[in-house]
Amino acid sequence: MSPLITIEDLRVRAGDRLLVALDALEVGPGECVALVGESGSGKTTVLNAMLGLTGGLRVSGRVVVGGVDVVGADERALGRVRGSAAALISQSPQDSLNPTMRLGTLLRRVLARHGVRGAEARERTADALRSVLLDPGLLRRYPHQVSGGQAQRFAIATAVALRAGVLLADEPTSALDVTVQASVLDLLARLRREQGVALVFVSHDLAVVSGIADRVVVLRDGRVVEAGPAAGVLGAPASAYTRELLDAVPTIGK
Amino acid sequence: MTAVDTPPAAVRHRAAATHRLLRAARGDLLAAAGAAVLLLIVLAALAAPLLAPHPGDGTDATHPAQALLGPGGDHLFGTDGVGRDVLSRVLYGARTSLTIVVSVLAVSALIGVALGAVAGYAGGLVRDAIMRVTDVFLAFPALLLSVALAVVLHPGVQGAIIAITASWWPWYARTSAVTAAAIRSRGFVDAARCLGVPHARILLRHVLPNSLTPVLVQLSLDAGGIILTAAALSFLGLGPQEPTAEWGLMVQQGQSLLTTDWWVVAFPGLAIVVTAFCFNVLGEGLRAVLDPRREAAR
Amino acid sequence: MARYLLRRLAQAVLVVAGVVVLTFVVMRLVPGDPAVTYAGPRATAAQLAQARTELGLDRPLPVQLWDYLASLARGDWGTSLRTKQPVLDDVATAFPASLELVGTAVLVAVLAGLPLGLLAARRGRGGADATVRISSMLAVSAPVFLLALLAQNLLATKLGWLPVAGEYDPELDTTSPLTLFTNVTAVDALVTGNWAVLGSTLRHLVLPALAIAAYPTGVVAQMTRAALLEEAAQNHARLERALGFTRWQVLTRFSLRPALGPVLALLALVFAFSLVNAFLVESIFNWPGLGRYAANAIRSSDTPAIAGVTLAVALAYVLVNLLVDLAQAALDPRVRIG
Repeated sequence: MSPLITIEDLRVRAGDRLLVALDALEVGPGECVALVGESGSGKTTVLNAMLGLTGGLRVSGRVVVGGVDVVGADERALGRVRGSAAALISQSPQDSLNPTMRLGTLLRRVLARHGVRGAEARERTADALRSVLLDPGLLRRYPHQVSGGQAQRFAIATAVALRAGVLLADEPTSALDVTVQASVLDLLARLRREQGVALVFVSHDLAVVSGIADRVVVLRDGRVVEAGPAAGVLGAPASAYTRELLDAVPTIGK
Repeated sequence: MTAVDTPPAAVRHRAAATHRLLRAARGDLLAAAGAAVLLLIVLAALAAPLLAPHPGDGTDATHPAQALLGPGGDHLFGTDGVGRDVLSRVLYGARTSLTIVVSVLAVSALIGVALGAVAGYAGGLVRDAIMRVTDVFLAFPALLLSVALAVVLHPGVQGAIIAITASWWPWYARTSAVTAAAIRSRGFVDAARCLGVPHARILLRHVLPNSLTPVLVQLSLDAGGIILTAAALSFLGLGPQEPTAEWGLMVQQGQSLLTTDWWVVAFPGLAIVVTAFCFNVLGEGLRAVLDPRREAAR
Repeated sequence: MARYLLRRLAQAVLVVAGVVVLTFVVMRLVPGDPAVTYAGPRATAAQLAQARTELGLDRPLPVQLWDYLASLARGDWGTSLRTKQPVLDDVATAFPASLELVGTAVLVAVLAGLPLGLLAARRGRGGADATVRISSMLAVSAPVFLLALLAQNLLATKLGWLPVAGEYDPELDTTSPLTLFTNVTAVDALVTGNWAVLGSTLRHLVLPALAIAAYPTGVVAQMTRAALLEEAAQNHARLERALGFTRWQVLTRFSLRPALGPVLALLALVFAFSLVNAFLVESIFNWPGLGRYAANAIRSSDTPAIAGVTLAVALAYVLVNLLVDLAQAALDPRVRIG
């Protein structure tokens, strides 16, 4: 099967400073690729590049998402990528929802933006909420009236309703407490199993990554330190940097 | 002791602010230009007796025989209804306007920051009492309170200063009460108390200077507003009186001549607009640099 | 929402009490003897004493304050020294005309300022942004009386495009008299279908309203721009962009509403400011509102009238503040909680 995301020779610069240099990365259907590294290692920049959300930065290379090369694409082409081919699940779920809008209104507008209206929108909404185990009554609430876990489930439901082939999860659990974290991770794993959704998972938490990723790319200062199957990279790290990251997680490796 | 007296973060912050200011001056040409023009206006006001072609006209001389001469020749900006040189009066008017601006800002900041710092630092009942009084002053539209006060006070430069100050200080009190409360909750105040430093000393050394910073950001923006308020008071006949040269008063006196002898109104009017504009662009530029939260919004 | 409303109302009552006291204090600062003003410069000692008793000046200050409060509550706002009419009647007659003028000006400010701010926020520091920024700054820096004088002399006196002064053509009082209903001329003319008066009023309204509108337009444009840019820097704007909305769509469909909160808060301030600016503009355009009344009162040192106007405007300001807060609570659900 053809990959959902193909990156070749991606370079992201801020002025003269090179932020990211990523020579090759592919994400196939149903796959989970984790980008790991400390904060400032460029993982979120890679994610933003996949969505063409790199305002002010210079981007070169090829970043093909859902058949569209995002680099240099116009707003119209980007509109077909963002949300429909790849959907963002962001770090702070509640901040990422418009505070003055009921969740239902937001979802309706997002679906309408992608041409889904009326009965089909209602049907997709109901299905999506069911698949993330959320009560439809939640749609009448404002973001400050739901919990962080509910907000994150809602964000995932949005991606499901849009039938996005790949979820771009930017530290999706770091703002949640441990039990909620586990249930959101379970949900993501189940969506992969049942709906064949692919996942790009950005995290600095290797414990979380080891439980969900097929492949791992370790980034430092925007360069790839090592990459490969999750079991290999995390089980027998080749670089000292990865070992350091692993050492920061006491529960792993034994 | 020194460690407690000088919070190093504040010093670093100040140095960083200065650095940002210099960098911003290169980026924000408009604000830099505003600052330059303001400097010229201040110099012109200070040197008015030297610069004015007819210094006597700035105060109490009249020459009815030379009334309403058009701009040009001996009178670059023309002459007014009683034959006074408009350029000279505009220059002297700068002195009046800047006197009012500086006095209002200084007195308002002094009263406001002092009350606000005490309110924020003391908290509790003292804070509530001071803030409720502030609320009442703020319940009047600023110009309205100034007008009402100016009516009952003796009209003149002093009256205008008092009238405008009355509606200006509460803003500073409110701002600095918030800052003072924030400083109080920071560690070094508690540390100083534990070491036996008296309240008065903490207030003077730490709370007051720090409460002043956000107010300073506000001062330049407010200067524009004070220029306009003073001009409005003068236009209503509540500001400085003849023969004091004041821009708003000059516009008011020339208003009936606007269609025939435009220069009588145009030059003092332009002086008001230019001065207020320069204060405003400078103030906005300063705020963008010194108030990081707003800077982030750009 | 009900609790928020109650708390806000209680706060407003307290402020009103403070406003009355402060007005009283300010008016007591009057240099010279109000009894002399009241009885006239040539009054005898007996007349002065009588005036003093009539004005209640012979009693202790707290008692005077109490009397003042009581009479205010009864609707007795004193008698104007100039018109010899009850101040409350004068204020009630003049207020609707001011409301008409200032209401129009604030409406213009919102209708022009919001789109301008939106335009400026659209491209960050682009050409449109610089233009809007400089012109709104100019609008905020121009004294309202200067704008009014320029508009009047240039557009009315010289070019004759619009009427020079007044609220409507006085000849219409005989040809098509207006039935008063709300005392807001334009509204009454509209309701009663008096098109001649309506047309004339609207034409008379243009110049003074525009002169007053300049400042609030600039302020609204600047505030809209700043609030939108701040909103666009929030996390939710990133998600909205990531879900396929363009920058412009995020601004108009998502950021505008939360950004309206600060703009609304500003409107109360702007309304009050414009009401006082009307003091200057109304006397220039001879508009029969509170401003012209106040300007006349100022010219003749009519203290009771000035106190009445001050109180009326301050009360209107408190009321508008209250309304704006409630509107904000309706607009942004977070306000109701906080």
